[in-house]
Amino acid sequence: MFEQQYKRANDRIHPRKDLLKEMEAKWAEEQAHQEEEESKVVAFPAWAKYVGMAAGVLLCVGLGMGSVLLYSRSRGMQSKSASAAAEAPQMAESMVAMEEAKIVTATTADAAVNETEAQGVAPAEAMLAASPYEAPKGMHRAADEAEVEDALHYGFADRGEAEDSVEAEMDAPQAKAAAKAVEADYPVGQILTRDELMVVFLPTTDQVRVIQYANRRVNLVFSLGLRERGAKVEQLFWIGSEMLALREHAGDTELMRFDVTDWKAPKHRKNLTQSGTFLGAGELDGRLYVLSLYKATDQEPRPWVNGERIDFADVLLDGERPGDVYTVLTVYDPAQGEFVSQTALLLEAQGAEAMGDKLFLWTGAEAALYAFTMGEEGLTLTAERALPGAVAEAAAGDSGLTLLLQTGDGATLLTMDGELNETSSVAAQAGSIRCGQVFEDGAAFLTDSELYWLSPAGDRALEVTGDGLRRLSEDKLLVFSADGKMQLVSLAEDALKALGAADVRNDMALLLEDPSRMDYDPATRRLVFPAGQRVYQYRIDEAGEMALWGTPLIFADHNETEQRELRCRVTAEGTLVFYKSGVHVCNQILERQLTTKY
Amino acid sequence: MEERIRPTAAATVPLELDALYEAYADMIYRLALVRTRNRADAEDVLQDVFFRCLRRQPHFRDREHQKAWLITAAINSSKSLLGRADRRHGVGPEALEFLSTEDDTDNSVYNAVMQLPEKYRTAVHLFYYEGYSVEEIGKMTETNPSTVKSHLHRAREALRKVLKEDEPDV
Repeated sequence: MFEQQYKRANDRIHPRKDLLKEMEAKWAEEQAHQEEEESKVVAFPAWAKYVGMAAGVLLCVGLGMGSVLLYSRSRGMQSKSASAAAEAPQMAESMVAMEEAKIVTATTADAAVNETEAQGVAPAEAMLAASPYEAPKGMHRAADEAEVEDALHYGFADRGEAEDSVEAEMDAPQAKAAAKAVEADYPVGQILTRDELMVVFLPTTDQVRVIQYANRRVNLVFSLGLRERGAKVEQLFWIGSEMLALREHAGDTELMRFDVTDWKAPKHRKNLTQSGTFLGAGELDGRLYVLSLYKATDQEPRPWVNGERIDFADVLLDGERPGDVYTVLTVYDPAQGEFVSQTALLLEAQGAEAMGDKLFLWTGAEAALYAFTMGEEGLTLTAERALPGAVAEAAAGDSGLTLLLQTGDGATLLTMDGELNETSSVAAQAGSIRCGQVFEDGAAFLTDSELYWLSPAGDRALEVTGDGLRRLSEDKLLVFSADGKMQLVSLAEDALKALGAADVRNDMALLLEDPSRMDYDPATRRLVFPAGQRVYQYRIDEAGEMALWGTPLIFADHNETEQRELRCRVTAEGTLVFYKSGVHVCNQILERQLTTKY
Repeated sequence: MEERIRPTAAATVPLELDALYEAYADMIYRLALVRTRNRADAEDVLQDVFFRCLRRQPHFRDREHQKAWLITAAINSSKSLLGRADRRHGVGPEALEFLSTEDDTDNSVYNAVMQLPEKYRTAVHLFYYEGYSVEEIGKMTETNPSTVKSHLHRAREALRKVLKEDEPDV
């Protein structure tokens, strides 16, 4: 009886359907990487062989010995390719820069942990030992001869200096081992921070990792798996003492609640659900607004919340418009632990913005805009209007709602108050919007050939091509393009003015895919971003000139996947923090550079 | 598909990911889930085992040999995952909430097994579900057969107790 029941229960368990596809993609990636590595390793011995043969033909003992020496040196370099040797002068500069900045890549951390392993300490114990306040034992070792040779080859003046540099890197501080301990193999999604805690969401596995960052060290506080078959986590929030995860589960939207009063032991509280696919969510005044889209069926004509149909009284626009798609809006109050308001609107919203007690919703199909007041009794429709174009970008601020619209003949910036009265409108004959951003004081967008700035004062344009933009300060805008160029533009002039430009000549596409990889510190006017294998630091002077700051830091041992996962941040204390796969790869102070260079 | 993974007397058996997956994914996933009690971890173990097999291309005598190799690899992989620092900190009782299967019928036994200590769960699963003998389980888990026997005995006792408690009063 027991066996049969256990067997039946097991027979129903299967891995999720898309897992094979994910694994195939990863395997293909691993194989491609391996092939690339193999081709590098093979190339050098072949070359050395020819040198050896030539030496043999010449029957020159001295030359033969030279080639043997050269060959053994190449063996010392192991898998570092011949192309790396060709880049030696550049690498030398970078190594010096890394040494100055005390930047140590993940490889060094690996070496440290592996060394601990070699000394008979289990890796897991080594990782645990690497707690933020306790140095792991046995992490220091003498410089290895081959590594010193490498360091010499990369340009250190003498053997003593090279040995010092290798030992300095190997004498890994605890932070590196701690970073290793919390490493994951998946890219980072959302990151929430508060004080010294950081919540990292890994969308590939639906895992949430809470990392503590204190005293320049990192430590994994908690890791929580949110994966369930048929479910996908969409967004995380951290309100008061609750961590809230919104996910789509079997076509409905679910709010998962975790009491994180004690971060080391989060408690899962009862989930709340509402019908329909997840549309969006936002936090306002300590409350969470959750929107979902529900398509009515004959069996279930009305949307529901927590299993109960929404009252007719709470369904707005019902019967007045055609359509069977509802936008369901709930308001969750963490203090009460439940939805305090639930409303359904018979319209298919495309986006929403909230401002004070106002909620704005717009549709895509008929391009209409609705304003609601959110009160204790729920939502009240206060205004509605048609829009002259589709909403490209939107932002709500103190002055009202600002929309960047793509119209038939160009773009329009509309600013409206809470009752949807137009306070300003700027139109530009600009063609199609490639990318744009809306701010409280205006909107910037790029077309195929121009950068536009639309504000209540009028519109201004500059002939600049680009694929992405970011506002660095009130009067400066950065435009970057996939061909590796960055251009700084001043918004302070009557006409937009190009200030400085920089040629990164690297994989800027990574930044375009994810602009959050770039960080700007207004205090030191430092612009930091990883592109390709390098981490660039630029400094913008008061006149707006943009100059490369120091030598790019090279993460030469990173493969392509890792490059795509690398991000960096400048912290308030001037530290550069690197994230890879959800953790800090390293965090080191660059004060020396700060003080010596500026 | 089946033909591609059938071992021959020849030393090397060519292995392909999709063939491995089709033949063994359910088996490895179920074992990994029993050991880790977490779906995401079980997926990690599944991937690790298959990738390890593909990288090493071990020589299998026959299909049974291959199956035993994969089970041992799954046990080792989940062991290292369970021993990882983040995992030690990370998995609490709330992870169990995500284990319920879609259909609630007949889950009481499964859930009761999942409440057992890890070594008992593995022994129960390999003995009752995979049908291995005590000696075979001993080899796979690097445990003395008499210890496996005692694990099974204690597991049965514990299950009897738990399932009795769960029975509704009549």
